Amino acid sequence: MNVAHPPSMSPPLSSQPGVRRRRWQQRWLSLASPGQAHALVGRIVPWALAVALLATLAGLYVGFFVAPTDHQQGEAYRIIFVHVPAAWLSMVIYVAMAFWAAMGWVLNTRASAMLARALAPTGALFTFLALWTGALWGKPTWGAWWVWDARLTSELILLFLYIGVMALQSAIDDPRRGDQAGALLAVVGVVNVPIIYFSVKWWNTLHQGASVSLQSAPTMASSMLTGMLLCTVGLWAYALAAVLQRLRAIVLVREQHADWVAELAGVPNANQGARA
Amino acid sequence: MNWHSWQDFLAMGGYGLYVWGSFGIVLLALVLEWWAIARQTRAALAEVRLARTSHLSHLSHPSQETPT
Repeated sequence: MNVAHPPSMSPPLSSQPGVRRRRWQQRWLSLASPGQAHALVGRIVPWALAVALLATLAGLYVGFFVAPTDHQQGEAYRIIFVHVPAAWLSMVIYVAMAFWAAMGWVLNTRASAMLARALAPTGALFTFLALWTGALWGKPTWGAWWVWDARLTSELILLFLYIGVMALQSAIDDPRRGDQAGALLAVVGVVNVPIIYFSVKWWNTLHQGASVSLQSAPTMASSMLTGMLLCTVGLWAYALAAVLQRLRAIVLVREQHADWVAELAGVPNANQGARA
Repeated sequence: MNWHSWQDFLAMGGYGLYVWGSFGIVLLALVLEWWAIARQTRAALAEVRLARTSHLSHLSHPSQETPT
């Protein structure tokens, strides 16, 4: 307590490079703090919903009224406008979930782990939708609701991975331990994503090959592609809104001891009684 | 224009069940998900209020969380 520092030995604390760097780190990391994230995210959600609505309506208009009938599959092909965006989302959300789960585990950032939790249910939902719409497309074109082919099976495994991650996250009472258990399965399960994506190339599957790829021109009419891309933008924007809105609810529960949560919930807060 | 009539549009060239079954389930799923998220948010706020008001005596101590 009473250790006297020689006055001339060191420059003022604030001008030391280490302190300055730490201050910058704090400012930068505050963006990753749950309170900041909650407020920022609340401003993004309405915009994401608006984009989702506009893009989806435009995509459905193009998909049903501009895009022509397919000469092989007739009108059944129109399922593509919802099937392909859902299938893409199921894979992209999984990779995002695994990434943030790993970040939360390695860097111990709370907001990352909460984001991983927020992503899982929406990812699982889109995986289910990809499978369901795929079954409804398979029946008229292949004659079967389901076949144990590489693409379908690996997508079904993706659904089980999502369910497993969610089960692990919620099975453990300590939320931080639950985050870590979920992260482990999420990260291991990432190997399944390239398997899904390349399954139609690696194996001889009943599922048709990619209609859109980075290497070659799309094998579909441009109006079909336009409709599909608009629906993709719409569903991705919806998924963003849903994930962020769920993230806000998760943050509230996990940070319930923080003052800003009490303020938000309208609870009297003893720490700032003078101001309230 | 692909459709000559309203019935024509709903029939989808004989694939109406499959096409509308696909779009219908997606719409239903997204509406249900949004409803579930709204419920989760309400439950979260209720939980916060409950935890805060049932531990009023502890509120005089500064919380352990770092201020943002």
